[in-house]
Amino acid sequence: MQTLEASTYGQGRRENTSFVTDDTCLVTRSSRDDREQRWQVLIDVLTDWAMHPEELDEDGLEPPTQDVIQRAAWLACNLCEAGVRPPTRIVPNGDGGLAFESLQGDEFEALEIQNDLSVEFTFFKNSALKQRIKLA
Amino acid sequence: MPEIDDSEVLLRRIPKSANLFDPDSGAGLSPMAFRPNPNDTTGISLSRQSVTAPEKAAAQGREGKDYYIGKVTVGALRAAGLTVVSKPLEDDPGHVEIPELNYDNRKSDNSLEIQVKLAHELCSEVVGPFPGQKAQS
Repeated sequence: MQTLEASTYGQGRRENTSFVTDDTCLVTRSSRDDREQRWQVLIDVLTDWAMHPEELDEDGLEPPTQDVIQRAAWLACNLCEAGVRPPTRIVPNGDGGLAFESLQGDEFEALEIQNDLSVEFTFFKNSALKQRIKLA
Repeated sequence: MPEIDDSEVLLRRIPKSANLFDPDSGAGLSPMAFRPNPNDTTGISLSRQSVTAPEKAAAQGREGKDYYIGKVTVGALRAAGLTVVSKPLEDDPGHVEIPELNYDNRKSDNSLEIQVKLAHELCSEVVGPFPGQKAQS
């Protein structure tokens, strides 16, 4: 497996097609506010899971650990800062980890934080796995 | 044991609290809804709708929690190359398993592709949420 930096996630999901960030004049203030607001909603979900892990307590499913949630929140803040569009949702992976998932048309990508805090990026097109990268 | 007909609908229980489905988001179902857990040693579990109604399938979940029910037809699964094996249980006589998706292979490339395909292509409908009614052991 290759090792890349975490910035791989969302490379194709900046706020506009030229892959620019909010630091450029091409993105309006309102779109940045909206993006930050949507990231905040996801961070609120993580905060809720950290405070109420029993909500995810299911037979056979291990809820995300506090360390995983902390790492996810850190990652979310950094991706938001970097101008990356927020994922569609954050979900537990059942193994003590969680994943950021994004679905756009026939393309699906996931950034999964494992319970050992390793991070893996996967990209699918029409449900076929096209890319699977272990991130640093 | 009689073959399960292609037209049969199978039900997958999905915990609402796990954020795997939001009817208002339009984002469909998360592939994690089909990620095998440690109990799925021989295949992920579904229930036959002809035997178990969606509300009853949800009721197999924990009391105090709510569950969505994802629907997929046997024919769609078979067309995707998957197998449906009848494994009746005392509290779920319509219980079936998909052996191609099990706990040991849950992170293999092929398993991940099947999970995505199930969530994005094969699952035809999600209904609920309905309350779980099983007392915690």
